[in-house]
Amino acid sequence: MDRVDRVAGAAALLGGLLLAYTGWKLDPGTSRLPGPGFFPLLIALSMGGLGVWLFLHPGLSEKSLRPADSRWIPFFIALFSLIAYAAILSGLGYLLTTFGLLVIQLRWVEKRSWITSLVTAALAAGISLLLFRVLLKVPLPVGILPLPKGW
Amino acid sequence: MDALGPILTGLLSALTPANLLYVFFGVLIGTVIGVLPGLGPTASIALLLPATVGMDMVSSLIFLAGIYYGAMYGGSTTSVLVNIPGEAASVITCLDGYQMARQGRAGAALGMAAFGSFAGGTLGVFAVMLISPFLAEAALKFGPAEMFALLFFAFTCIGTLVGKSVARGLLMAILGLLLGVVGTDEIHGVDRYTFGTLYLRDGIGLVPLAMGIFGLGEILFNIEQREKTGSILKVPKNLLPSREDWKRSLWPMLRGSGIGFGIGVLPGGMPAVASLMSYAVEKRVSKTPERFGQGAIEGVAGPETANNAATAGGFVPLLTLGIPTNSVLALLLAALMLHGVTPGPLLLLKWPDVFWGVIASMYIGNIMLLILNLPLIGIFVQLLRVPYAILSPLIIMFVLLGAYGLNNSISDVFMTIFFGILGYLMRRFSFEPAPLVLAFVLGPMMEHNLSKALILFGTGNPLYFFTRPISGILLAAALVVLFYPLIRLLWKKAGR
Repeated sequence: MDRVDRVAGAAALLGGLLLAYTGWKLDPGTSRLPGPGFFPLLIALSMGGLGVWLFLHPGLSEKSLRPADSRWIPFFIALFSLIAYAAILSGLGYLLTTFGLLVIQLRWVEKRSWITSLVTAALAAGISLLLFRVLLKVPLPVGILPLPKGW
Repeated sequence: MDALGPILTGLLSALTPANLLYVFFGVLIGTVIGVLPGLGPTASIALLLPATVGMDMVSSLIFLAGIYYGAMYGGSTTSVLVNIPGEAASVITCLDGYQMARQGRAGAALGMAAFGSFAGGTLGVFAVMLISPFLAEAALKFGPAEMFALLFFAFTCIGTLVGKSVARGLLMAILGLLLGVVGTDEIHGVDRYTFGTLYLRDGIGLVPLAMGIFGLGEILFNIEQREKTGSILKVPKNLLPSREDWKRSLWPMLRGSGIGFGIGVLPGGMPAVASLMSYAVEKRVSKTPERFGQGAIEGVAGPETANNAATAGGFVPLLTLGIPTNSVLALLLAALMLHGVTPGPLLLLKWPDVFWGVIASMYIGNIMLLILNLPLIGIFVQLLRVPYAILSPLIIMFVLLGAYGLNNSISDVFMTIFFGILGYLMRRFSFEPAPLVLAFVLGPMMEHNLSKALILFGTGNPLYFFTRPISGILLAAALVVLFYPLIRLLWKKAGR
């Protein structure tokens, strides 16, 4: 807990300094006529001040619950699949990308069987496409897979 | 009769078949969300917000508000039957509710939670109706200095009262202010922290931020630290509490209504804080405090009443001052703005149908929830049998779909994922996300009123804020809230 507070305090201090510099560059104006950098400068001062306080007085807060055993591999698979999803959504299209994301999530993150993963992913991607693209007219990206006319 | 006119208009507006349907679906979705652990009302409302753009303004608010108080009702079910709170506000219900269920008294616990929620919600809405017109009238006298002072007071309350650590809460609130600065400055027309991108010129959207932090962040956290759920206890047929249960619960329910409403009105006064406070009060006033934690029905009735009264109380500052006191209300504020309504003291004058329509719908919604919850509780509990492993990927899909659907933009999807990672880190290291979201909403209003007040004063002396009575009192109160923990700490150290 103490270490987290110290790291957060140091980060806030650094962030405050950086923000103060950018606020100054934006032109803070005066207290009679505040410029666009005025408010960011106030935020910078508060952030830096609080960072110093947190760094010098860590662990004042109640002890939080210690995390249980972490499942890092499923976590990183989930995280990278999300980023990949956003990166390829436009190119591959909604149906294929969503199907792929759901299969990865169900099979490798949630450890479901192949059958459950494939069937659930296909149903969810298909039904959501029908609901959002056809019924609600949300222009979801079509990508490489041709869709029936009117979809 | 004149005073009753707008209320009747609101009632008529809420009683149209379409709006009754929206209330019904709102409270139904809310109850389901409340029952299911892992998807809170903030993420759900953020998800459904884009879908309400095409709706009539009153209908969309009625629908979203229904989700909010429906979730408060539903949250107690899992607390009693599985010992897992569906909502943060129902954490405390686990203590006695689950014990009652283990003793074979799940029916009384669930029934009293539903009746308490109904009482808290209804009394809370009645108080909203009484107080709001007076507060709105008083707020009409507020200039930019008073508005800034009020917002600053709200900011300090949010930063210091929410979460376990004051310093961490404040840090999150300041981060929220910073995120609120991103975009083109509306007074000077200068781009700030946009990194040269066109996307950030409009500022960061509240919906990707809320969906990321509360939706994806929660799911990523659950993937990393999967907790085993306990077995679901059987739903009893009879949910009606006994005469003795009623006798024990009547005063806790009344006290819970007062405590909940009072806390709900305060910025940072989340329903979870209200339920915790009510539990503490009931334990203190009880002649047999040792029963608490062992299955005392007062420990269910008080907190469940309080969290629903707080939910209603939060609508007072939102509708009369335009200040959201928690993250769900921040999204309701966004919903109002999406429809071109500026919440604040003028809302009652300019859009009385919105104000009274929402209030009337809350009465109706509370009755619907009572009717829904008592006979259908068994069906809602069946939802808990859907494995979270299946539910979680589907929630991810809907969050990403909702993010894309906002503006049909991949950038919104990236933004949601970015805030999802931030939300995960905040949960992982015990940083409360609510102050960030609230300060993000309050920040631009604070800056606007501060700049306007300083330019209008023309003195260049910030101390001028203290020479105006209302802003002076509010700023003094804010400073007390801000420095009270520090004073208390120094006092403690000096006493050692």
